[in-house]
Amino acid sequence: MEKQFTKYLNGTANPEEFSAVLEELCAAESGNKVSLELLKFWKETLSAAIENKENNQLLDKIHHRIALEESRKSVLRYRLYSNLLKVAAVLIIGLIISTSYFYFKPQKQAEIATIETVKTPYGARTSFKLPDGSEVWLNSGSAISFPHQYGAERSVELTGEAYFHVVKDGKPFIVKTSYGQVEVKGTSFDVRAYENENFVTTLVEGSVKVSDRTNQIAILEAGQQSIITSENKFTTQVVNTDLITSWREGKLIFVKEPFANVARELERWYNVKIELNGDRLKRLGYTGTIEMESFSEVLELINTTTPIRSTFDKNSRIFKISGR
Amino acid sequence: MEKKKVLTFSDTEQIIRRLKNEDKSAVDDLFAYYYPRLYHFSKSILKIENGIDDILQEVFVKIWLNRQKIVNHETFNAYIYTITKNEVLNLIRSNLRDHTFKDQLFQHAVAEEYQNSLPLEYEEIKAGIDKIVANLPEKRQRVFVLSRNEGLSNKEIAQQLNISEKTVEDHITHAIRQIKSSMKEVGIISLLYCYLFL
Repeated sequence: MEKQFTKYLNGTANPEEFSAVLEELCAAESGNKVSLELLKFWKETLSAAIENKENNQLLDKIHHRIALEESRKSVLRYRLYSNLLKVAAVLIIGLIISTSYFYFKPQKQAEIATIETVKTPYGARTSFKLPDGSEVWLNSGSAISFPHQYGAERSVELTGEAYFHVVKDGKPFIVKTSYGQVEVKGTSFDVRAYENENFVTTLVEGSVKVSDRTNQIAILEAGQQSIITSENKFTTQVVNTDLITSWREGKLIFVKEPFANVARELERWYNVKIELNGDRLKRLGYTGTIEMESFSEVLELINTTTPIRSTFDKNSRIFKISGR
Repeated sequence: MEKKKVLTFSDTEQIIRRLKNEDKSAVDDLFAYYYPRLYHFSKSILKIENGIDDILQEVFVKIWLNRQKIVNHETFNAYIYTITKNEVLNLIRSNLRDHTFKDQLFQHAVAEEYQNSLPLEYEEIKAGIDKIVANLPEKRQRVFVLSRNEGLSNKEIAQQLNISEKTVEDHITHAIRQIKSSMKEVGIISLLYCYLFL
């Protein structure tokens, strides 16, 4: 299909190949061969030196359409509001009458430290700003809680993985996890604290202090990573931080990663269930980058470099992958 | 923003932010970068220019209307690709019964030696072409095989054989001319054959 599609694009297909490509295009659903080719061609187009092309007439038309859609929306909103106003007027009149019967006693509201929680389900990622202006990127299947107003320290609680870009402020910034905590002043770093996995902190810039439950401490420098295993084994190493934090840019990069870990990452990334059969497969190292492919496209990608066979069990909704 | 060859991660993040802040000039920047690319992508598949601008208008309006749902750089790129691809494929699907549309697609996607061919079966033409190609001079034959069998573009062939693109084009034009004139003879003979024996 790859050759056929390129020939279709180049205008050098033979009639048989032409019909085959056309048939695939019409039946195209995500995951079939031609949609892989389309995606590949799109990526090539994105990075190719494409001749500039202007079309101000079309751009005007687009702005015109946008203005039209906006005004249609605001008319709808106005209708909704005017109805709501009528209801509100009735309620307010009722309220004025009823309050006039009661003695109005001013009450001082107790200040409550409200805790906010942001959660990402499997298959989704998000980024936002904390009350102090620090930025957080939250990876799939993670949750972070923080008080609406910070006290003497800026502390957040994390399960899962997050990347922090912390702004400097007199108060220390602390990430608490079930495995231990990471303390910083102002820096960029990644914390990984998924259940039943290693507790991993990767420092991109600045300096951080990592401590575990048994109060072992490590001070990390930029480019260093600390790993704490479930047996409280504490190691630090130098890593390529771009690889670790690539998920923020919507990329999963694996370098000789055991397939078992790859599968777990894909489960979170795509919100799917994967079952691996065979120990050999689980230990198999996988190297590759996954960017904006759909899950079935990813399976096909892996298939081209790694000898796997995958089946989808409709009843249990589990992808079963075995070695070939 | 000046026009860039490649939109970086932070460029896109900035445009997304501006879109979310109701800044309509962000649409202009999006258009400047994506319009030529989306156009190239759509035209390579649709072959005809008619209807592409309508599709792309739809794409940019949809992006604006759904701007608050855009999460990040990754979903944004995937989103643009998905709407454009779907619109293009829908256009093909809904026009496939239209014979002039299909003929035009055929004309642009199928190699020239198969165009306006005589009323022969595909297999016959293919066999005829193969025979003629086998007798082409060595260099011309290589160029033609790389183009038609391997699916390389003229540019890629020029690079691989270390010759100019113009030379590649010349080789192919000559090869096609040779094929067409030989096919005409074969065609007349086989037509005669039909008349005489059927």
